[in-house]
Amino acid sequence: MSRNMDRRSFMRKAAAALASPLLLPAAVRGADGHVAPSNRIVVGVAGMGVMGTGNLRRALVQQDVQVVALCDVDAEHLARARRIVDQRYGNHDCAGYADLYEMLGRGDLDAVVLAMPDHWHALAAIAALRAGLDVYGEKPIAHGLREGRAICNAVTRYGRVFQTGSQMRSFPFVQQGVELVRNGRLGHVRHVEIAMNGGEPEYRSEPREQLTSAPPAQLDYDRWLGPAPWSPYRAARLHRRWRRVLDYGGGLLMDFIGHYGDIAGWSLGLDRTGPVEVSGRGQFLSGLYDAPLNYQVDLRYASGLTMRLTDGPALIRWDGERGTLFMDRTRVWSDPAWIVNEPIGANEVRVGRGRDHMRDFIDSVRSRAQPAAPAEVGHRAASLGQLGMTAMLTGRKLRWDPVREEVIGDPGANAMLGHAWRTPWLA
Amino acid sequence: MINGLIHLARTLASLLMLAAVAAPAWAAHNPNPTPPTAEETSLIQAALPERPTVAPQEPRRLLVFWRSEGFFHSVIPYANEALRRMGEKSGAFTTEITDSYDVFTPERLAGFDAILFNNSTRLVMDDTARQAVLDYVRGGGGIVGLHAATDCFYDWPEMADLMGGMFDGHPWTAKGTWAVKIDEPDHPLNAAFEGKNFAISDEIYQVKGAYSRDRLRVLLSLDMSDARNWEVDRSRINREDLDIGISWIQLYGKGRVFYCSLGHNHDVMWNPAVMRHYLDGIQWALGDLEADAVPSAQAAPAPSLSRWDFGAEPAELAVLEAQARAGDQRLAAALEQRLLGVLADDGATFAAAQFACRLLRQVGTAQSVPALAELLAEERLGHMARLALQAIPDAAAGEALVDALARLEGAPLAGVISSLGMRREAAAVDPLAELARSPEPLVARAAVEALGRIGNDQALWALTMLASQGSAPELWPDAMLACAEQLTQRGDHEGAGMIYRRLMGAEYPDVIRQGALAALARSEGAEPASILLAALSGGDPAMNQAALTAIVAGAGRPRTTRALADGLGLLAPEAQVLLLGALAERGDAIALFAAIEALAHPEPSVRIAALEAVGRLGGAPQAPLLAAALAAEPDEAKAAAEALALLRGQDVDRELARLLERAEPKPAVALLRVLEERHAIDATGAMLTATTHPSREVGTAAWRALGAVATPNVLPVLLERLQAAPDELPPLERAYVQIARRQPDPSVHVQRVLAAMPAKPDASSVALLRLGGAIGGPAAFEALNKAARGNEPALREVAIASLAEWADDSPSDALLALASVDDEACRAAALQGYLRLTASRAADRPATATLVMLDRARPLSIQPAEKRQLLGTLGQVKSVKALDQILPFLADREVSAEAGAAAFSICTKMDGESTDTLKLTLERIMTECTDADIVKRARERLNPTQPAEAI
Repeated sequence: MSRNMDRRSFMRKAAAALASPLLLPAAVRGADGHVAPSNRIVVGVAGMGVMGTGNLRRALVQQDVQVVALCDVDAEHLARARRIVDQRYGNHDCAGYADLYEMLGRGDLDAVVLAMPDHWHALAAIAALRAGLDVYGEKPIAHGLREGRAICNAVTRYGRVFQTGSQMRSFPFVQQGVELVRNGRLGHVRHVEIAMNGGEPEYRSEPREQLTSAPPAQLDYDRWLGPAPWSPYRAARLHRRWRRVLDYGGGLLMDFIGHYGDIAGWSLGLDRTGPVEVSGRGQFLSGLYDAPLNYQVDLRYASGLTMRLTDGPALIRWDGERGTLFMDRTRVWSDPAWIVNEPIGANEVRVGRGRDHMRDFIDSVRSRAQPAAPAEVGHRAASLGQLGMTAMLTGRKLRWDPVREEVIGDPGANAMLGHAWRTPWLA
Repeated sequence: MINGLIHLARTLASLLMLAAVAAPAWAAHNPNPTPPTAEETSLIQAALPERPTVAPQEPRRLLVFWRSEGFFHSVIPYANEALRRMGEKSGAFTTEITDSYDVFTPERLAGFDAILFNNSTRLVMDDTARQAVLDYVRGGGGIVGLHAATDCFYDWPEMADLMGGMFDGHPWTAKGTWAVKIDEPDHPLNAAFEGKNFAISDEIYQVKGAYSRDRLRVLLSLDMSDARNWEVDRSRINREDLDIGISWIQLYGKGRVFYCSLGHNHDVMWNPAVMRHYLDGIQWALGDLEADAVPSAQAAPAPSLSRWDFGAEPAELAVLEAQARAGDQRLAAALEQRLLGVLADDGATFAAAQFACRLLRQVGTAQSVPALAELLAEERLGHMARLALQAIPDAAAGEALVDALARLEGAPLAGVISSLGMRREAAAVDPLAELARSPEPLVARAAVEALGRIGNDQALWALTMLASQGSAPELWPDAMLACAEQLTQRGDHEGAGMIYRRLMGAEYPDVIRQGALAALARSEGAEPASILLAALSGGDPAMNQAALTAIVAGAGRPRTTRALADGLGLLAPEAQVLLLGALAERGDAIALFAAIEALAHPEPSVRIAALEAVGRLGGAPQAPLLAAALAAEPDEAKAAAEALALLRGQDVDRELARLLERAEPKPAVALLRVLEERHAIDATGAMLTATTHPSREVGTAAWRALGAVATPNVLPVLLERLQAAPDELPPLERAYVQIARRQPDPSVHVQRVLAAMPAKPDASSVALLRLGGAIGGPAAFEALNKAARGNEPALREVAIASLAEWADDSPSDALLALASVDDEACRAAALQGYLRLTASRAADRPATATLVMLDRARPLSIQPAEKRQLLGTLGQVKSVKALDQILPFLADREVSAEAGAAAFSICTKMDGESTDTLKLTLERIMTECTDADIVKRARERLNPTQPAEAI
């Protein structure tokens, strides 16, 4: 689906190009297309693991962004990231922090890019928003549903821009699929089936237990734990594997719900509401890891639409009256095949915009327009997984009020939607 | 009426109970059950062990007893057959199979080494028979029970104990598949399973009564950590300890008892592992196989949950976690007691206590509150206890947290305060108001924050007092914002407004002032607009930003929008740009008039912003205004085009079509692009007209738009145009193909095109054939093949060219056949086409397939140009095998240079593989190739360290 015209709104482009004097004093693009350092968006990046390093690289290629600070509790990760920044800018000006709060307190940041383990998401995001910063935050937006709502509230309260790191929203094939569903090319959609295995084959073969040891010298382990329950250091529960521990993450379900749940909700105009009924069952691990390895979550919406989340090779399938649409991590296709070729007219819903999720965020920081994946939609996508996890953990079918965000008639399940943070890590 | 129903229900219930006592119609002995079929019998025979597990010490006799006074299992004849054949095949024992009570005399029983109860239910035996059986066992006889053997001795406690328990339902029904745990992988009677837990489709019994690991050596049980075993009616799980034994042994006097509950489904009788397990159990009961029968609890006492530590295998934890997830109150209550036992154990490890707290978060009730509250002061466990207490819905949990405020300090105190905030405990406000003045920063911060979260009138009052006393100046404004939000929710807009206006004061941090502005802007009317406009035109960047954010986010408040639009003209140009953008993003159409006015602004940047806003907010009436700007300077023209693409309304496309008809060439091209972007089907007619425009650019743009947008309705017109002027319209053909291919069934359109070809070929025939071929599909393929073999040179040429561009390799045979005909023109075209097809799709097929295709073309490549084309393709193949075809050409003077280049290309592509072959190749290039440059490069590659001159 070729597009002649850039569908990013003029305001976003204008704000980027003009770099308004109101927002950023005397910002004028130089003749060589570079933006003078004083006119750049000043960014700090926290959490320098796989996603954080990827985000850092996306930020570094933006001409009008200056990354001035990095933060990680692992000195090795921090040093590796600093080398990337130093290489890009040809200097050693970028500062490094182990303490997020120290970085947020610098006073010169416009925005932060956060990619920490899930249990840190809400604490870090709320601290940044409260410091008056705009936030690019990795998905899932928060570990617990209540914490996701708290982020949304803080975004509204302080008038900030928040981009959820569900960058598939900025993929043209995803936008194409969403437009086809939104504009009724499948007819009435009764059911959406979402499989979201993230391709971690070693998940099954890992040990069930691991002896504890002293944390390595370069790691501030207590800070890594932050608001999560204290537990002795076991290396296999940290870098790249923390998602398998429910204290820190939500397994494959919470890993990918921020993409596939988001896309499904978006396509059906349900990305700012939620289901009315949730049930689930899962095969949980126990011991070193305790997240569910296999799961099935069934969601029902007020319209009667049903959605099922399972583990399996990544795929979204929309079952519509006129046809079936499929989407995986790289493409969209349909049965009958010609449905995907149907053009979308100007009077229909068009969701396409930029292709670069980080660019979209920076544009919004300047223009104050809503980014592609604002906190509310990030939160509603994460909610699907959080409710599914709660249904599995309580073993009960939940009746959900998506407006008040309460489990109806089940105070125990309601209470499971939030966490108590470990002191001193309070928001 | 209702009374009548209740009466009926009671009658039915009593009838059912009566039936259970008196045994219903199906519960009777069936002396002639259906035996296994011949096929099933052979399955059984094949599954049985070849030989005994141990050689019998003497000939063994097994009595198989299969009478059923209760439920009659259809598996009985299957099991009889399996047992008889098991004895015969393995040689471990011989069987007597009977359903007659007559065998239960001391004399008869003396002839057997063991009695096997094959699903015998509710047996009715007199005291003499009973005594005979008990004496038999005490004296050293063996007892084996299969499946329903526990559904039997309800009125004979001693025998029920001997069997190991009494049937208590089977939540795990025959149709399910259940995960079985091998309790002791090394036990001799479990050898059949080779230490691997397994899943089986069978009916699994729950037993009550004597069943206990204190008495029995349990061999197999249900793996209750496995989610599959929970896919049952959980209310029917009566064993709160979740110990569902499947197979066990015990000693009774000198006698040995083996029981296995597997074997309800017929196919279990041809499960080799279960049959081997049966045999091992029987051989043990017969007295041949040695095995330890010390009760499980003595042989391997279960490790205490309280002593569990990190790093130990967590087998039992997984079951308890599954129990917490069961969603059954009875099981949850049992689990809660178990967990409280851990918390009450002074010797409990941190790991165990943490585990208990974690699960109490899921299953805890008021009963757990005291034990959890006791832990709150502890450094690490305190947080875990709080995690549970915060989640326990019972009011007692909140009260315990409030009580704890008085006795805690430091970090644990701050934690409890935070949890009270999360629970929004109104009763905590008074103590929190005190704690907000704490000298400990962490405590004060937590208290102020919690007051903000609770946010009721009392909390607001407490924060107001803090503010008036100058306490916690860096903390209370934020909490006050939170309180004001709740005031708004309660409908007190006036009170909230007062707070917000105060918090906009310059003495507060930027983020507080921004938040207050944003909140004020969320109301409707002239006042918020004036605040926003003032902030936009003021010199404070923080408030500029906040105002813009608030305008963008504030759609659906038309009075505020209207007032903002009214103020637009008074702002400086830079501020107008931003406000126009924000109003466009906000999307309230009421602002359209201001955007239209701004189209005439002297500043280009304002005009550009206005164009965008008109595009976002306008409809068909604004189309002429925007179209007029298409003739402006490039930046404005681009903005106008983008705006036109955004206009919404059913009439927009028709209006644009009307404008197109009168447009000058430059705006016409821009309009056509807009129509293409809009997928403006309603403008198809205007596009078609524009294809005949005298300006070539307009014509091309029109065809492009038509191809992207039009429905098949337009195709007949296009076909006529093509027939009328067949040589001039490649853009028409492209559009035609694009439209046809988009359709559900493109072949329909191919057939129409081919049908239009005249019987006697003329100038249009070529164009039509080419068009049909370009759409593709089987009909097109057939027509091209036919034309390629036909007598009409012009059609043949176009057919060969079309086949060479086909989407897959299917034309290769046809092209190759044509490449050896006598007609030189045809031959050359076909060979060239074949080579093109081979080269263009090389990336889609394996290298070996491409080499086979090229090998077929090689003998046909006669002309130097053809050889060059062949060598060019060979040089691109990613395989050293290509060299076999390339190297002979080195000696061909006409193409020696190209052969050298191709061979060298392979050497560079395949570097690192087949080193010897590549070395030989480079040497052959050096000796045989006639091209000096290639020879030089080959030499350099062969000896990279030596400068070429030196040789």
